[in-house]
Amino acid sequence: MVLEDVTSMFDAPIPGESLTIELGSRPWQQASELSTVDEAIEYYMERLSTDEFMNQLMDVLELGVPITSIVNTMQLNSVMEGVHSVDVGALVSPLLIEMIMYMADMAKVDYVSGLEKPDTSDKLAPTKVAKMMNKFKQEVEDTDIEEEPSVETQETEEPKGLMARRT
Amino acid sequence: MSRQFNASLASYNKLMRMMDKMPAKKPTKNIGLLSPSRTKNATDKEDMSQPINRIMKHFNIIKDKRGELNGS
Repeated sequence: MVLEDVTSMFDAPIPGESLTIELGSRPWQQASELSTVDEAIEYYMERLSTDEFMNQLMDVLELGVPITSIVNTMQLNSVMEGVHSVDVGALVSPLLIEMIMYMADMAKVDYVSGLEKPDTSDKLAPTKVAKMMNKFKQEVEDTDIEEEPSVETQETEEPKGLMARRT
Repeated sequence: MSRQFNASLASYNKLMRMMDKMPAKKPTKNIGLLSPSRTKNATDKEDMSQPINRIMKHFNIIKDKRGELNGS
């Protein structure tokens, strides 16, 4: 919980950051290359159908990256490069998600779609557990453990002589 | 990362909700000889000038193909 709050606090633009450059100097501030949804579909289908992209995509899916995150990154990147506008990206996204799921099904790759409802139970995510374990290990290493004085045990010697009593 | 707002996920869910709300296509009853072969209902036809309808058309094709592949 604490880690999430800290990361979200820094994961935001600095106020006034957009005013530090000249208006129209960024690709997304220009007219986009593809203005219609059909052109955008064609553009993405061409990219998705290449062998190189397909192989990389399947590798990423096998790592457990959700398809929705991949598609969101793809379309946001295209918006940033000035390929298409934000609204075209939003319209094309569902189609891309479905297409990638279809491709993964064809390749018989186990994938995370990202469409599942978030788990609201108290179950901890593996990454959080790993972080907590690392923190705990570090704390254990940093603490000086005082050695306890060894307790000398007094052993009673058994009588060994011929006249000794047997117990 | 997964807790951040995902525009693609939101638009996917929105599209699915829209498709659920759409009325299912009923087969026309062609009983008599003089009955019209197609209903003249204007709402039955989708306006393909709207980009969302074109997306839905493509989406349905891929979804059906995926359904066939998975055997559902």
